[in-house]
Amino acid sequence: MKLSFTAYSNPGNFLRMAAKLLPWLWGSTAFAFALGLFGTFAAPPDYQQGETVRIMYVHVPAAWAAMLAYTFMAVSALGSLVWRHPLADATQKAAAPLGAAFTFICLVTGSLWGKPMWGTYWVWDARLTSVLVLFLIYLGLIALWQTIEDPSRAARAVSIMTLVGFINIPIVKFSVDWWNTLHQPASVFRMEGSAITGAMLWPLIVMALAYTLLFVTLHVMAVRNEIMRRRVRRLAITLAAAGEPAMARMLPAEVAS
Amino acid sequence: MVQHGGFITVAFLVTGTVLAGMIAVVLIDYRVQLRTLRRLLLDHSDPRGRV
Repeated sequence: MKLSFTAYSNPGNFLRMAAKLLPWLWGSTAFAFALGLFGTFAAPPDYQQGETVRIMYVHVPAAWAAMLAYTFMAVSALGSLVWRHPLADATQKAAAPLGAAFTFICLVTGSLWGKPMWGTYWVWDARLTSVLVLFLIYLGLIALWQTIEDPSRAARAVSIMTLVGFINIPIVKFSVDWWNTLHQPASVFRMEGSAITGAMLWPLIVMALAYTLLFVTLHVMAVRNEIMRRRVRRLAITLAAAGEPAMARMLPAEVAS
Repeated sequence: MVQHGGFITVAFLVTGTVLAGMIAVVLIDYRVQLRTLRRLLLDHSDPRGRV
């Protein structure tokens, strides 16, 4: 069987594939969350932090998912600018709110973990500040989509901004190595191997998998919504051009005129 | 009594609420788009069948 990447760039093919994939994605996401939450509360408490370490199981996967979503958006931005991939604009637009939500979870749970451990909800150290910048970039990109009415023009502007903003991702990752921060250095993905004991590591990995699966599931659904939104818009334009005043009212003034 | 239990509870509650909110928003958006598209297609069929 010959697999063609371009075949899946067709929105119709994507919708058919999404309909087949989504039940499996929902099932695996629910299973991963159930297993991850079981592991979260079955894992032993930390010898220094006690039970508070359980916040790690929702905080760290959120941080990884936030960076994964942005990296995915940057790849989509390349696809949009360089290859004019038909689905790249939609995938970029759909990923931004999901990435912003994961970043929000990361910031709030990090603050709630910081207060009992560091004695403060917030410090302006490099890791915390770069994650806040990531959140603001997400909000900026969502606002840019809303500001420009024409989807293709908006996609071009957002793609450029996304690629410029990608510089922040290695800063987030390596900020704890490059600067002296209150935030602890990497303890899972590092050259010397993981610094976390197996009993605490496996629930963390399962929760990370659950967050990733949730991102993929919601992203497939959000791309499907975006394709439908564009079909609605195109149909409304066609009908408005054919003299349907009700359709013209559905469109923004600049498109309808 | 778990030490710092309040912080742990709030962290899990915030996470659960935001994740549930994300799911709800995507599902509601799907229903809205599907309903709008169906209404348009039922009221005005496109002879080219492209929409």
